[in-house]
Amino acid sequence: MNFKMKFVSMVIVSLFVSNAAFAVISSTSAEFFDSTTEGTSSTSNSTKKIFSQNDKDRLEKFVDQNFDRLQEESARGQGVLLTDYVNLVGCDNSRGVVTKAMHDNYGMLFNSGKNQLVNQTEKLINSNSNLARACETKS
Amino acid sequence: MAFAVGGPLPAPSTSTSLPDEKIILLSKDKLWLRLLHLSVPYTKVISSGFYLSGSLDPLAELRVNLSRALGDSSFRCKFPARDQWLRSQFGELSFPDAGAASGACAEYDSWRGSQVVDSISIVYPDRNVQTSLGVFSHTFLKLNLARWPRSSNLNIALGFAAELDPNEPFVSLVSKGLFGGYVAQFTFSNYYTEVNRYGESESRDIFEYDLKFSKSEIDFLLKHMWELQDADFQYYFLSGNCSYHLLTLLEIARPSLDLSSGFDYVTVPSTSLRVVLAAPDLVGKRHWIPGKQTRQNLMVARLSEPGRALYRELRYGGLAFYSDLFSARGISAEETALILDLLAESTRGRSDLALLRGEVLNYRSQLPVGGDVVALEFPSENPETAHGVELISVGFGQDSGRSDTWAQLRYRAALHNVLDPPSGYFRDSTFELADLRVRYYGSREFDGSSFTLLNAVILQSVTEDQFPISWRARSRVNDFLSRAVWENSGGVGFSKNFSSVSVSLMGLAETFMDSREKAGVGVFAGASVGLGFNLFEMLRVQASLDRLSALQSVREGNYWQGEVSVGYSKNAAFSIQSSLVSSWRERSLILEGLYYY
Repeated sequence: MNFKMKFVSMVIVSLFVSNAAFAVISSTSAEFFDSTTEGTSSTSNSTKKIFSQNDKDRLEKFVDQNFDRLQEESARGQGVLLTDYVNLVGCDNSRGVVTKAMHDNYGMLFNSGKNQLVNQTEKLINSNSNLARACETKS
Repeated sequence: MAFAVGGPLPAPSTSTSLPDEKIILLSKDKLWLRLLHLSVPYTKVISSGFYLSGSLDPLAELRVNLSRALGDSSFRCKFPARDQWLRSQFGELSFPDAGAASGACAEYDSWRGSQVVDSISIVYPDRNVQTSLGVFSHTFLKLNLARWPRSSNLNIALGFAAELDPNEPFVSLVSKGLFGGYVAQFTFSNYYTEVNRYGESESRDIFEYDLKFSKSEIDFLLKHMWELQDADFQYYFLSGNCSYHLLTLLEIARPSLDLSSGFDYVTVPSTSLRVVLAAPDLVGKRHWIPGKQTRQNLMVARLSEPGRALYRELRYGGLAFYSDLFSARGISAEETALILDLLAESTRGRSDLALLRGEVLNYRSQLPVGGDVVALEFPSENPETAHGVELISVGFGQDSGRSDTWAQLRYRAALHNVLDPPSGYFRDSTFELADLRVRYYGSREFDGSSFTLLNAVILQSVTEDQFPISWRARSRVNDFLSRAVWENSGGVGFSKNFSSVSVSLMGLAETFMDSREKAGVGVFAGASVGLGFNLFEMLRVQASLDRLSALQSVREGNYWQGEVSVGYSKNAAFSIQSSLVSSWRERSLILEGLYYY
């Protein structure tokens, strides 16, 4: 390494390490290599439990990181994250039925807070035969 | 995992029957070296088990791998990319049936069956000045899964990152960072995590470029990623960093690519992106995700004047919210929805505005579905239109009190001055590193040369309810070919943007040490006012006036210093700049032609 590069390197590194967040691993995820955590959610069964524990964990992680924006997009009735949520739930939203239902039932879904969103979504789907059908067909 | 790795290895029993000449030749094969991460400096794997021969010798590694692949049907469970390459190169040899180890490879086969990747994009969050590293930005890959739409945030981000201990002493951090003292891995995360970090928390626009990889190229890359899931690397801040390692991955997916060879010492993310963009037939469609601030700016721009006024009253003026307010002000239903969407966005995360946010969202949910926040057209200002990181320039100038003019050669390692072409950079700020200027006078002497380690002027505009700190810092050695005067200065304050004009006010501190004077040390304090102006993207004007008072000095007690500079450019490659500088030591005028690369 020539002098110029050494010097420039020292300067740049000093700046880099002054903000250690740049290089810190913050999101290493083994999930990508774990086939059991992927796939669409299960269909409803006789007890009307739409989500398995795995599904719930994944949904709750998604909700935890995106709740505020999900709230905004549900109030609006559209958005990338809202569609992602509906896809994660395992619903077929090709006609916009599910996102529309989330918009129409905004208060019921969101006014109980972040921790209840997944359960409230389950209740909403169970309460409406059209939604139940839309959320059975995808998987 | 059925495949045993690490520990003492048996002698390659079949190696004597293998075609030696061919093995020697193929041990130097570009793709083989890339699969071993031995083709370029800084990339070798340091965790055990990756090199089956226990050495970094590609020939020994090839012998052992070939032996294993021929004798163990489960070899492909652990090293599927190596297995594929070996089979393609040694077609004359008899490898075990790939399906023979289906039981032993259940984990791998299940993963490959579940993780179908349709396409890959390279992602570049735009620069920002909120962190010292945001100015250099970052690159990572996005794996677009078949099960989700391409635009979905459920897709997978693939990056390369090191694990630092934030409590480590500074000197240790620097030396470890420079010389590979940190361990790094390829990392996977949900794309929404990255969008939240860069687009929302840091308010940076995110640019995505689809890579035109075929299914087989994607498949081969994924196989290699499986091989790397437990691999540790040394992390070098400058060379073996995130961007560099991503380039090596792309070269594995498509062996005809040569992307990393130009980055032996320093890999700046924006420069590595330019190399990717310039590679033939590699980049397809471009996509853009506006950051939080950009999105809000676009929404505000769509509002009528009364709508904008109402938004500001509700957001900043404490106006009580009620649903009939909008019709009472003559706001249309469509614009009402837009105002509500904007209010919802701009009150996110603000506990003091939680009540307003709740009312806004509840009312918005009673209005019809719709209202795309913004049209996502790819912006005309993007990473492709940004000037190069380094520059060289030729300049001419004259000092007060001297009749002869001087010529100046200049090299700057990085990154951007507010006078440079602004596209793709932070607009009102300067961040320069390692700026060397050598001057030669008509009277045949070198004088006035300087080396600036750092010159930063970071302006963050105050808003109605946010007061971010603006700051500046400079460390420079003047006249280093004759007497060497080391100057350091810093300041903090506030700035405000008004459309194309920025104004700043800062408190200042400045020191100097003159190597030729006894007690040649000065300490000053004072204040600075700055003004910036941008006209039609081509012409930038910058002015500053400092007033400093000596706390300790062998020279003058109080003095003014000022600078007026103008920069003009029509594209990102060249600019012309002129400065008039006045300080207690001199007044000088310079005209420069700059080339960025």
